[in-house]
Amino acid sequence: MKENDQPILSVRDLRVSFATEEGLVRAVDGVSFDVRRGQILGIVGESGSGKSVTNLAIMGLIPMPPGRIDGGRVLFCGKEILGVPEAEKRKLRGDRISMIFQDPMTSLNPFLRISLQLTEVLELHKRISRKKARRHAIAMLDLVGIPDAAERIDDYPHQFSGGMRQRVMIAMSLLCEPELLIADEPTTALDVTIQAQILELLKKIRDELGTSIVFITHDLGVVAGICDETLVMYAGKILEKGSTRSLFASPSQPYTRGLLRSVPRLDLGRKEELTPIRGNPPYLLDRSPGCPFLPRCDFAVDKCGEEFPPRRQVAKNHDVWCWVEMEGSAG
Amino acid sequence: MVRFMIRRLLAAIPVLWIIVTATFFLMRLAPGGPFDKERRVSPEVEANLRTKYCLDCPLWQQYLTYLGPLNLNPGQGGVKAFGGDGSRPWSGILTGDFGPSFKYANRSVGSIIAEGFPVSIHLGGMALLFAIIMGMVPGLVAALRQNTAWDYGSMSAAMLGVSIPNFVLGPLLVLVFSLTLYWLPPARWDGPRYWILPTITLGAIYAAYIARLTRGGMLEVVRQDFVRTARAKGLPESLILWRHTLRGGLLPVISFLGPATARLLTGSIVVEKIFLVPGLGRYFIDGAINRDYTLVLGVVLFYSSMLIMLNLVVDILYGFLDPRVTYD
Ligand SMILES: Nc1ncnc2c1ncn2[C@@H]1O[C@H](COP(=O)(O)OP(=O)(O)OP(=O)(O)O)[C@@H](O)[C@H]1O
Ligand SMILES: [Mg+2]
Repeated sequence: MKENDQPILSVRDLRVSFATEEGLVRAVDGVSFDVRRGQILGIVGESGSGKSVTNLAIMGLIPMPPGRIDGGRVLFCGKEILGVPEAEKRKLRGDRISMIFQDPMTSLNPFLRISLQLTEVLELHKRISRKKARRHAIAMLDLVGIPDAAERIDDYPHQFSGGMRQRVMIAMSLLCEPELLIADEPTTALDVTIQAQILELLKKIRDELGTSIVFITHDLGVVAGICDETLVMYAGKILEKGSTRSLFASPSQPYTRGLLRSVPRLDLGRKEELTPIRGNPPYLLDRSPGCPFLPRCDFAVDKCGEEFPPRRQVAKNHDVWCWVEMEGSAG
Repeated sequence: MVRFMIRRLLAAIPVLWIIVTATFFLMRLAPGGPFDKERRVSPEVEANLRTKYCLDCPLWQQYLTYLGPLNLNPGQGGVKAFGGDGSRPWSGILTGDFGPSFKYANRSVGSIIAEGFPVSIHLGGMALLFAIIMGMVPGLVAALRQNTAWDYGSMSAAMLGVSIPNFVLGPLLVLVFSLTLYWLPPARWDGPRYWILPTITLGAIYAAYIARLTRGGMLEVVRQDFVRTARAKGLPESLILWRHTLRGGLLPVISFLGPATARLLTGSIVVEKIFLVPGLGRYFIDGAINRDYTLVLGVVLFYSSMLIMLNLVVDILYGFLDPRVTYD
């Protein structure tokens, strides 16, 4: 993992909005980040913060209408992929970039055997025969830990448990050996032990296949476990990003601190009280020019309402967007 | 699967029995009798017929006679039904004999059904085809081009189709295409040109329903997560439609088609009457008006069996389309 390698994915000033009945919802509002090769990047944030929309935009899967890409660039291996024709995006999707979704119960087609759902990806992108694709698919099911893969491949999705279905989804997304895997809350719908197994699997995939992974979650505990870098999103904006180690050691945004304080942490013992962040997630419709977290922030100064803060570096590979300079670790 | 079918067929027996019983007694509740309408026969002849058809026996005896090969008619070897010569005793529906018609002398209900049913099937089959094509195509287009002129256009047409009853549509079509434009014959069943108007009249409302069900079903499926997964895999839209959405989207149509097929194939009472089509439906009406007890009962029984059979076929088809359905 060389630091100076060209990032596998670069997102620059991405803006996505939705036309709804109440008005224009700016779901993603000027988001920039890089994913380096072989890295696992975590994106955290509360529900509605724009995590999924960001990644659907990368995949070119924003439903339009009501959605609209208002601007920005997405570079995959240095090549712009945002504005390219649908046919070209289709060639990338499922082949070089793939995505798995939150709910394994509904993400597989209930009417089709998983064998077909798996092999169709290979037939499409690699142009190999169904028989060969089938052998490949069985090997992949094996790799993601599905017992008796050779027999189970002809089952229907409802014959698998939730965790097994997510494994099938992961196998499906890996068939073409993509360079980038986007995992949108892949463990949220699963119970804790299964969740840990899936996380282990994703780490193994990164280590053995070298796949770069974008891991979306609202669970900071999960982020600490597997992500090299972490990005904190709020109301369509990035408020803090950096190496996971640095971000957890010295969270520099009140929102990040709030998030950290609202999850139980083993390393701090029991002294620390769990405190939820007060207030509700933001209303994306009427946007003030300032920081979207302002109404819920305990540290706000006048400036916060006037202008969104510029990037400020707090450490090597650790940036924050906040007017207030916080001291010490708030853990 | 075989067990499921056997179970369903066994379950149909009590259902059919209830239908027969209810129809039998309801018919008798209606005032009048088979010989009231046409008082052409002399009282002696009528009395003769009455004994012959056992209409003067107590009701329960008539009922049992109708049901099965029970010799409850004293002095005769069962009820003699045919031609007055007693050559073929009526042995009851349990033996598969629907009995004689009261109105059409010398004809059995079975032979009337055998004559009317092919015509009804012909008309119904064409109407079904018309309904499927004219329903699914606009329904699909409307779903795939949601909120466009295509969508609004076909859904308005479907709304219209659902709300115009066929006894209005039939005469309307006749008025326009036969009496004004002279393009098509207004009635009878003598060749392809005669088939068009009855087919449209009968099929229109079904086409409208199918269009709405197709659109609704497709829109329901298109927003499912697994369709997004299919897109994320890079599949082209045509393959997504063909392989991933059509099947689920058409399930509502399939379940509608079961009873619809039964209704269409057994003949439409109204349409056959309007266009003078010699199908089962017309016999049914005439039978009801003439209190032709056995004919009405026979047609009802036939119709119910068809309905039960076709619903079973739909359930089996459903299982093929949706693997989550099990037959236990
Ligand atoms: N198809 C759509 N139409 C209208 N608004 C949408 C649509 N998809 C997303 N949005 C809006 O975009 C905003 C961001 O949604 P997004 O799904 O990215 O949130 P998220 O961070 O993934 O949340 P979660 O943790 O619940 O998945 C939300 O306010 C949502 O209402
Ligand atoms: Mg989401």
